[in-house]
Amino acid sequence: MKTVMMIFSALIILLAFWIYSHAGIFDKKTMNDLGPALFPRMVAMGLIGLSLLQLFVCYRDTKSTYRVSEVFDKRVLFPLIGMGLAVFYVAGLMVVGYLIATTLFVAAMLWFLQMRKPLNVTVIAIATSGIIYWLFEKILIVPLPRGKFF
Amino acid sequence: MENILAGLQQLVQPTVLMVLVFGVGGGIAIGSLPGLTATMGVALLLPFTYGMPPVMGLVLLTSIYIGAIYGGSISAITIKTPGTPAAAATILDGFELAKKGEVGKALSMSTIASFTGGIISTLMLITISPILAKVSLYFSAPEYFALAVFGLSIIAGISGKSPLKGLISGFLGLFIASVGLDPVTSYPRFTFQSIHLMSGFNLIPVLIGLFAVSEAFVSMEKIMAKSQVITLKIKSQLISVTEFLQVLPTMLRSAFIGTFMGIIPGAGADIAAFVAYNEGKRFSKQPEKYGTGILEGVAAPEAGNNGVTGGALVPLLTLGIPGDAVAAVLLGALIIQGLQPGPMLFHEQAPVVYAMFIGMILANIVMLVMGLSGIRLFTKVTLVPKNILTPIILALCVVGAYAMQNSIVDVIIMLSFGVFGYFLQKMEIPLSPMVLAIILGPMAEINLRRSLLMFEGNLSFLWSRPIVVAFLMVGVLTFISAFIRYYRDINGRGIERDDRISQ
Repeated sequence: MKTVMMIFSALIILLAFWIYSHAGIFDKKTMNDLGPALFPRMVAMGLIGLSLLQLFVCYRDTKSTYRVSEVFDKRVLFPLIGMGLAVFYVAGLMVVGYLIATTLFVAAMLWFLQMRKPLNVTVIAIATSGIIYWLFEKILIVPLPRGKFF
Repeated sequence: MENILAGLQQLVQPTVLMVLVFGVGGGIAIGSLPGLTATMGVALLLPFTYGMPPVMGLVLLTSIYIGAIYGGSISAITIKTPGTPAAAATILDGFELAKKGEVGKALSMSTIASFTGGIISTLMLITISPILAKVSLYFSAPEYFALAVFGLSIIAGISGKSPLKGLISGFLGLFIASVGLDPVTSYPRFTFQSIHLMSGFNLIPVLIGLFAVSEAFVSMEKIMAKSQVITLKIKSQLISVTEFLQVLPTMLRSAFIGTFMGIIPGAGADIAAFVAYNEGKRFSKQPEKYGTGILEGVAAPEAGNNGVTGGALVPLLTLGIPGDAVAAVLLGALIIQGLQPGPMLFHEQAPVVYAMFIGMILANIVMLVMGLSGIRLFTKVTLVPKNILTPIILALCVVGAYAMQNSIVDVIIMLSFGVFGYFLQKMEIPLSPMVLAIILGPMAEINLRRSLLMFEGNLSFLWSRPIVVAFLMVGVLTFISAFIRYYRDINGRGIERDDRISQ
């Protein structure tokens, strides 16, 4: 945990420095107003202070270890694959639309999450996308993503 | 008395009562679906009221409002996806209760607390609305700034084991909230010349991403690690009378907080829920248990957010100033029906107004009945194996994110925050402070700068206005007490590692 938190704190400090310097170009002010850069700069200073404090706390912490595997072990691979599937799903929404993309995504996710009965996978995938589509598009008249081709 | 009887006569018609029941049921359904807010539900059904008599139209819209605010808690508790922003605070203890197998208790607590909040705020609306309306007149930019600072001070209290990590999360939320056009000068900040970021990050996709999508990724890890279907065993369904009596003071306090917050224009149910949660924790005999799954932690935000339903109508009906976004839509409904909000409304259209009030009381009763009888159905969601539920939740999340602005960019934002939220959870960095900061950051910034403009750059508004001083003092005390409690816990008991995520 210590290593991970220290790296995270360092990244936050870098982000804060970037926020502070980038805010320098927001120079539009009105009379008696302190300008659009004020708040982001206050936030950046707060982030720097808190992250330095967090680095100090990590250094003094005797209960955690420096092992990265304490936080990120091989099990993190599964959510990473899930994230990849989700990215393909969002891309699919833009190409084939909600109905087809969701059916394929749900089927792929069920298979990935160890459901191995093809009939169950097919039925659940089609039912999920069909019910959501009917409920939102037809009943609530809330449009769903439409793809380029469908 | 005459007006009440006249109102009752207009209300107790079979068609009006049917519309009321339909409104509550529809509102609960809309509120429980992620991405469909109470405002959206009321706005969607507003056109249907054009041809209705005034009482029927207003009863329909207020019933949807009441049902939707409660409905958000159902998905918040069962699948950690707040159906409405107002239910974001309910996740803190509601979902933890569900993980313990006490989803029925959490849902029944939410229903009863929502009913309590709704009834108390409606009674206050009926009896003392002209007096309460005067409170809203005392609120200007400095008071709103102080209220936002007070709300932000709650971050320390909802940060769980590490207020420091909670503050980092909160400050990241403040940065996220500053993306977009500057509210005073309209200068684009951190937009990278993208038109999609000009209006900043929409709250709904961020909420859904941080809570629901990140939780889905955490679930994947647990599902694959155990290599078997994970289901919960449901313990009991309803809270006991003893539990109800123990939680009653918290519910009453939160209902008053919600009513008060509703009276202040711009302070919506989401803010009321967090403030009520924090105050519930402050007055609790076991504040350290908040966040671990206790009934008080569900009762407080739910009574608070439903307390807003009556409070938001106080400035609307008495002054013509909507108390929140839904009230703004209701203002449109009133005008469509030929009713002019303001002091004269209670004299010229008294039967219609009182019919609406009694309708709200009935709507809360119908919500209580529907909510309690629907618990068996709602709890079945938690019995669905996680490996089936997770992809369904993700499919629903996409709809929720897309529905607000019909924009695929919102879906991308939701997914990005979902990934971000997952990694924050792995590092035991709490997400609620970030959400609270995203909600309150703009309010704090806009009103600070407006105050400076009003006072010509002078900071004297911070100590010369009594309401400002009161809020700032309570905010500072809240902040300090959270840290004192944290350091007392460390020195007294030592830090225990939270193994929930790493199991």
